Amino acid sequence: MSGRSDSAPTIQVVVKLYGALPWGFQEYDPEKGLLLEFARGARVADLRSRLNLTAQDSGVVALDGRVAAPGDALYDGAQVRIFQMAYGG
Amino acid sequence: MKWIRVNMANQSIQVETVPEAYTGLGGRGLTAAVIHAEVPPTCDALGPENKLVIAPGLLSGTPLVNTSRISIGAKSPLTGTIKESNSGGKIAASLGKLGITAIVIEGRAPAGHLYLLSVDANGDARLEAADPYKGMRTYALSARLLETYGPKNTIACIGPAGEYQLKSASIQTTDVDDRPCRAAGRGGLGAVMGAKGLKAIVVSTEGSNPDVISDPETFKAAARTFAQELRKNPFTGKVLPNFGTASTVSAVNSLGAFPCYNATQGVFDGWEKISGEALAKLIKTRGGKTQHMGCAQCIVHCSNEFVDEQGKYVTSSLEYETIWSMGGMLGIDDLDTIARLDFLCDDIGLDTINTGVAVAVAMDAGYKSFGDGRAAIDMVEEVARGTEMGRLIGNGPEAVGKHFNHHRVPTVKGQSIAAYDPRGMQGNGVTYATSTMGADHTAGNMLGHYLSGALKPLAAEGQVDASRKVQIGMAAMDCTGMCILAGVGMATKEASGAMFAMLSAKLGQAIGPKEYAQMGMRTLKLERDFNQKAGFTNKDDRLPRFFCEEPLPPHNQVFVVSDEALDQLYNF
Repeated sequence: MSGRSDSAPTIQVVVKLYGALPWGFQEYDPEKGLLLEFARGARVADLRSRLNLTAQDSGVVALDGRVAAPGDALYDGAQVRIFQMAYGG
Repeated sequence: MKWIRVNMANQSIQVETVPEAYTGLGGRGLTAAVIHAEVPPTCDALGPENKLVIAPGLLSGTPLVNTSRISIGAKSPLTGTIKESNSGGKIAASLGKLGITAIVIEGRAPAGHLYLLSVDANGDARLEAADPYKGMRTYALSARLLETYGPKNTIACIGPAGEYQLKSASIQTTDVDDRPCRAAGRGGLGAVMGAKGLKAIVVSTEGSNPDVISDPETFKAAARTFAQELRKNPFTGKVLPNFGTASTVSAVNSLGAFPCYNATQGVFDGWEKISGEALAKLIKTRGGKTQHMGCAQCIVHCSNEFVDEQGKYVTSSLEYETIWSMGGMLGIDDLDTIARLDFLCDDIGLDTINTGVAVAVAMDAGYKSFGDGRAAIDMVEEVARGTEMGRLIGNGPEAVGKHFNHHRVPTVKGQSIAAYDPRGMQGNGVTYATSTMGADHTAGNMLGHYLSGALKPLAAEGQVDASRKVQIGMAAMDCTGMCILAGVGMATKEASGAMFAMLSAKLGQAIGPKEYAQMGMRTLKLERDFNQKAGFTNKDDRLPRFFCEEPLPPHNQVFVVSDEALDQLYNF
């Protein structure tokens, strides 16, 4: 958790990007990821929109070790991982 | 098309046209048909009655990209079931261009003697004494054979593990750079080749007599469409070329389904050190190669060339499954150690998956500590030396578990699982349990279903139906010679339409989705029937008990698909 107050109007999430996804973010640091702030109540769809992930190569969002749906809520301190579709090796 | 039968007992070779019963078959569909018809199901897999069938796919040798998978089939000494293991490199395309549908190795050479089979540019086959090559590892052997036979040849061979007839022995094939780093790894088919007394097969790459394509113009147009779709697909066009199959490390760890420390954890602490991203960065920093072409006619280029700090070649290609079996399963987060282990397995002629898991079971039993890379390297080296521990490791996880009386042995029908824990990806558990070939991820990997959100990975519902569909699809694809990674491109309507058009144009008969599925079902039914005649029943289609009893962190889930549900898989 980020240690921010529950009554704060915004939440912060840390987003880590994998595969070719970081190529779209010049300042991306793989160690730190991206720290993004959203209004409380924001959802995974808002995150996708903020990162401008295109429809074809949009990446899979994993939240708490599960594949998240666009309607899933984000929460303060969430660790989000976004990677590209994979089919195994 | 030619059909070559080699009798190892008297070193005779028969060349005939393809027997009527096998016409129109290729790859796994063909190996299944031959073994089903000609190998007694209860025979000793290492005895003279077993046959080793080497068959390019239906589309191998055609101009279509990514059709360089060679199917190698036999009764497996590891599982006791029928087995098809396929490998990349150049041999499938080379045999296809020589107009050879299959090579069937029969009988057994006189004890103590080794032979080599060569097929020249005319498709003529010869069996020669190979005693001077006894004990040779695959890299040295391949280099020597290419010196002797000339550079325009490709090789399939065994290393010391195959000669010892160990149950994890692989058959290695040379890649585009002539290194024996591609493997028909699973099922111990290297031991079958060793038992037959066959050290290597040398095949000319200069064949120019491929099977006739009934409708070449349609084929050509569809092949172009298929290639375009592969380039457009984000997975085959961008992810695989840049990060290889190791790109899967981040996905499976993010789902908590990466079995590590001998399948006691679902997320590996050090996974970001061994991920596809870390691997690509390290390789580039050292001057190695990503976007490497490993197989003939490949346009995906998922391969890599791993080099050491001095830029010297270590191995190719470091793949997801090996990064898992030699990395996460052993608690090793050092890519140099994993790469060394990968090279050793290729050189000794061992399945990296079964071997890594065998080492993991030994570590879990307390023989050595998890994370001890030096110990892992020593254990694999011992296989080549033929020591007692080496033979245990080379015979796989069950042999090791039995030796140490250790209960946690992640195998089905004797073969280890791959890099997807059945508790974190229940459908992969269904595939492991019910596959005709023991725990085999290539028989029906469900990862795409979970990442796309089509199926929930931790629930029982829907897993059997989904696994059934994927297993049928994979069995069909294994008949074509198409690489399964490129096969992902078939997800679009354009690409699947092109695939059906090419199969129709090649075979001169209409192949649509229904006929394609029938090809897969027919293959699975033959394989299943062989296994039943060998004595396997539904009770063998089960995971080891610990998967149902020991929850896997972080989701703390066990395998929850019921036995009754598993028994429905073959209802088609």
